[in-house]
Amino acid sequence: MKKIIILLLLVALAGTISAQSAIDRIFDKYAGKDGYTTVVINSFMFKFLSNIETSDPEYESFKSATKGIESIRILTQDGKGSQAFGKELLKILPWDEYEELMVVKQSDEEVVFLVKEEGDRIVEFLLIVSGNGDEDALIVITGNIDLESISSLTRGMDLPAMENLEGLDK
Amino acid sequence: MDKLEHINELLEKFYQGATSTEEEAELQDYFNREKVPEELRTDRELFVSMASAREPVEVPADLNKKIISGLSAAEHVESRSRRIGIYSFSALAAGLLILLSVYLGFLREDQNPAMTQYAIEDPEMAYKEAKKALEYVSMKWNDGTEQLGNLQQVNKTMETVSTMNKLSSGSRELNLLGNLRKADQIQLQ
Repeated sequence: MKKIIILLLLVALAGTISAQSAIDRIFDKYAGKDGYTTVVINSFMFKFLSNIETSDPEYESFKSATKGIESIRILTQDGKGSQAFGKELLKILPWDEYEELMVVKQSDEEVVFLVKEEGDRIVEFLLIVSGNGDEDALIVITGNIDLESISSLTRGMDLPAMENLEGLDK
Repeated sequence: MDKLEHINELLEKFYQGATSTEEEAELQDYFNREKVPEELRTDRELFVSMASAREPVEVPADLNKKIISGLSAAEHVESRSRRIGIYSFSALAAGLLILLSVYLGFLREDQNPAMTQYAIEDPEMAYKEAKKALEYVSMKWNDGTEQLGNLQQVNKTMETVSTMNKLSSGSRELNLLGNLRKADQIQLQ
């Protein structure tokens, strides 16, 4: 009897320990180290942020972009000298769990967009920026992410002329 | 005095279990009939009670059955209580397991216990950071789709090029027709 219970406990423990994902491992390894910035915004905060009074004119677009989002985790490399983690992440990532949305390769930088789906719902969104330089980044967004409203956050931003045209339409 | 000494001797033998039935009967007789000195009173009580116990006790006919059923009932109660013990033990273990898994599940739900220390607690900061992050994602995303947009632009240009091609092939045909007509006119002349 005791043996069975101990066995069950061990199995349960082993299950929870091995459940740590590649993403978690990267965060564990680099979070809090010199040269890296870690930011976590959890579901409680998003619930709170969906209900605040602010004078920010962009708040409405922010709200619609974060409607389905539960949490955001960000890991960025701050400067040269610290090890670029993007390559390591791309190597250990379980690719079969993700759908590739877009891969952009530009000179020495690779930007990868991935989503994890459960049924028809997107449950996790990954942005991995992997370069040799000084700005590797990993952004993990959990929840149902609306890419359309997120992409409209900055659409036309770097094209001021277009912005003016959009203004004319209204 | 002699008598008392004799009785004492017999008593000693009796307590050692070495008396014969006659000697026991003699002791019995003595305690029943004679006045007993103070020092032997406790002995007397014993023998009197033994005498009364010697009266035949009626044995109930179903004594055997009663004993056996009593025994088996006792055994039954014991085994049931033992089973309850096992059940409650496994229930306790199951309860502990559930608690443990809920606890561990709670930890996992929270993503990563080590990560909670990086969670932003100031709403203003969180708003800024979230916005920054989303704008970063947005920018990178639009960067990528812009490339696709450029491709579409190329496609459009290609289309125009192909219509131009058609135009030029059409004009070539016209040219040919014109040449033919010229040839006809020459023949007519």
